Amino acid sequence: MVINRNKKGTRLELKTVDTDSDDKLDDSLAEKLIRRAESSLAVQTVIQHGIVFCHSLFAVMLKHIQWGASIVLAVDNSDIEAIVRLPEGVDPAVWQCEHLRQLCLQLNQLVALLIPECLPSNEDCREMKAGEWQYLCAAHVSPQPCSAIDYIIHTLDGATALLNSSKFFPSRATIPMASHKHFSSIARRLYRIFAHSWFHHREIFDDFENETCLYKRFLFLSTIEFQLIPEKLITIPQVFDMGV
Amino acid sequence: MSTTGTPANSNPITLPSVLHFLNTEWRRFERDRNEWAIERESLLSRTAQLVGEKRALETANADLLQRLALLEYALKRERNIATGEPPVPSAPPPETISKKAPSIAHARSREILKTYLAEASHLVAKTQSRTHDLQHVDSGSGQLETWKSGFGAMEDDAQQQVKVVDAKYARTVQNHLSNGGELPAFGHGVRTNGNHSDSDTETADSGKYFERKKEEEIVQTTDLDLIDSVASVTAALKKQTIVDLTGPDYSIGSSEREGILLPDADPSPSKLWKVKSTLSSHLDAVRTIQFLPNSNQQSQSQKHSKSLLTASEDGTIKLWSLDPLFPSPTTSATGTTRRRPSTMSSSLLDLEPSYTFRGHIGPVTALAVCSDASGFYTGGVDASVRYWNLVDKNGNSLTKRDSYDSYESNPQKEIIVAHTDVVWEMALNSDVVSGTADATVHLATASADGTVKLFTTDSHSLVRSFVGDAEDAVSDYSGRSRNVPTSLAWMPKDSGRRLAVSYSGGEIFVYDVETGAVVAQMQGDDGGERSQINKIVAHPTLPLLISAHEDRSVRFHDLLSGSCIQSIVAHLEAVTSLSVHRSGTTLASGGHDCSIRWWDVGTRRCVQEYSTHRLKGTGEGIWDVAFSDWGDEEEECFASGGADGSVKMFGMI
Repeated sequence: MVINRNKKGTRLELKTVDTDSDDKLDDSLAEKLIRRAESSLAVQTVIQHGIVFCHSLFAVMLKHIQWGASIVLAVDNSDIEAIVRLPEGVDPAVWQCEHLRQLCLQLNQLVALLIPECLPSNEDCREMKAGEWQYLCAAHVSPQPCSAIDYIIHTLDGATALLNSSKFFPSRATIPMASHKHFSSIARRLYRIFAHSWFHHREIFDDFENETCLYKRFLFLSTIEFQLIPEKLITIPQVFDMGV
Repeated sequence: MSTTGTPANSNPITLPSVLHFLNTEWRRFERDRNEWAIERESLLSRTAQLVGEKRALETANADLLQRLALLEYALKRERNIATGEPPVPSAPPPETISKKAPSIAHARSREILKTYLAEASHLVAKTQSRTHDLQHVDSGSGQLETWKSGFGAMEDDAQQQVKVVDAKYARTVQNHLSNGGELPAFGHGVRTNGNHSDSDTETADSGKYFERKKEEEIVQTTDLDLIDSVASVTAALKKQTIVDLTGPDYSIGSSEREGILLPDADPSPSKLWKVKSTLSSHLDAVRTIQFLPNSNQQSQSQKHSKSLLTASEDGTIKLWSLDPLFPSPTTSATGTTRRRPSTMSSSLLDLEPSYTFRGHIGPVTALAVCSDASGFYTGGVDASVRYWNLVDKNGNSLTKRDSYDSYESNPQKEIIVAHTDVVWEMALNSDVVSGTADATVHLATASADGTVKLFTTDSHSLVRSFVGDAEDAVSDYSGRSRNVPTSLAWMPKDSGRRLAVSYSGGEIFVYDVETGAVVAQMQGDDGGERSQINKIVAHPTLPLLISAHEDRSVRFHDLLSGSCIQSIVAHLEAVTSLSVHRSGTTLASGGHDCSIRWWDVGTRRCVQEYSTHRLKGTGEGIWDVAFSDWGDEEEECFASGGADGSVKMFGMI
């Protein structure tokens, strides 16, 4: 299995995390990587492998995105499950932590798409609303009614800072027990970003979802694999075939 | 085994993949062969050792036996004297033994010397080859050649070593002779050695020298010859042993031989770089970092605080205000308070970025800050070049804001779409002397589509586009071996007219941007992945260009002559980044072995080494290093960005 560094000069078609083409993303591959454990960031590598496998056209799609075009990618549910399912020998807390980090990473892209659109001059976006619910931003000393885009960015930045903080997540190989409770609060807050964009910026949400299937993966992670978000807080209607 | 990231269901048998497979297999065979050769040598040296020990024990044994025989004889004689009997006719045997002993002993001694020679060559070659191995380790056929050359070169040292042994042995022989004692009879074990085809001729020669006196002379002359060499060889041996003691990771070499250089003398502790803090907020590898230059604004709110920009593979660029690292009365009075709720991070050590710039799709790979720090440019995998403001619409510096202020104004000003492939490097020629006619500031961008494009910074219009060699414009079947520009550096003099571009095939071209002509060209090694240049920097005052290579070396090029002055093996893995201090005395390099090394430019010796960051995946270590150019001696800063997503800050104090 050859994994390439993305060194300078690499062209776009080749700029992926390479593996042998006959390796499948199954438990054995993940275990192989983690058991080899040359670095403490092995789990992140595994997740990024999985994503690239399922979206192996991703790099090619990047080249073809003109501002506004969208590409529909039909991805099997089982592939998404394969990324999210906890492999053997991996600490569930570390798995959740790395998945949430990857989620924050990819949400940056959704936020980048929202920034020009989600302006406080819009009626819906003057405060953080998702459907009938309104949320107050917890990133401040006392909860403030930030505008939607402010709420989104503050939440994402706050989640990123928390996942990187030396107090709660000092190491990427073991997570102290006291920090487990943060996973659920992070997941709940990040869910609201999806909710706001689904209710008020539907086209952006659809484009993004078709490209990355991020929401589907997030739902798999937080409701089916690990119970991070209770059912009643899932405000987006069940239009996705979860195949459970 | 295919080298491209194609989906699993495409046809895996293609010509490039077959060739690649053959290549890898061949390399693997070479490697196995070399390992076998190494093992064989080590086993040979071990057997030589054991044989030597055996022989020594046997000679000691024989020595004792003979002493025993002599004592018995002496006892018998005493007994005969005591009992009044005539001397036993068994007296002659010892004498004949003693007479024959010199001739036989000399023959034997020459045989002994030959065996010692063989043993020593094995042992010496073993230790020498280890150090040579470290210096010349390379995959493929290169290793076998270096092994051969290494052994060839080691003959001299082996001979010297053996001369030492010779001298020592010759001295013991001489001592024996001068003491008048008999040479020990080395009758037993010597014959068993096999390598003495020439020793037979030697014994024929030595048959002439039966007299002890002549032996003494010979031994004496040889001894005198060797005494001179002993001193030098022991000195050389001492150096070699130092090499061994430092362990398998390092080998000391002078700069004439390519060797990884250890710090010569301990610099005074106050001049060392120490880690001050870690900035971790990126979720993926940090690709490139740059400090903001000192800004000249008047009002306090417009003036930037000491800040750092970091761009990462997670698609964001973060702006960090470093004031908390330099507590001083003025900044604390006007510094902003960080409001953090209790559920979020509350540690004082965790700095959060002042601003996160989002907008790129995919990793951000290149960064260039304007010299007046009003904005900066970035380039990424999405092939776009974007310009961002560092001052918000009220004129306040973005470095002064709290992390959780309002984000309502979008700092992204402009997107330049000009490239068709990943933008890997960009540079602004900020040393332009303002006021002259050709004082436009240019932005140069290098991309994997093979071009280097030049833009003006006021109108962002494309001025020029440089393409590499025409032959390389045709892409090879594997794609990867196509020559693409990998790094850029503006020459600090000539009012911003000269641009040096390095390519993945190892060449460096210097262009004149006004005319578009190639001013100088520096050829690298033959193509292939290992010769890629990862970074070039121009020295601020000397006509020197420094390049960092995939083959672990850092090379110094002279611009006046256009040739490479020197090549140092700088790291244990590929060298990814370089930064020159603005005074021109220190060079810093970072590599995928997760270590940072500081070099003195004048003597090209390593002054300090520091290992930090964690490896990501299969060997991504450090991606970028940078000196701050602020001008304050006490607040000098150094930063390194790693593949684990963290940025380490270093300070002198």
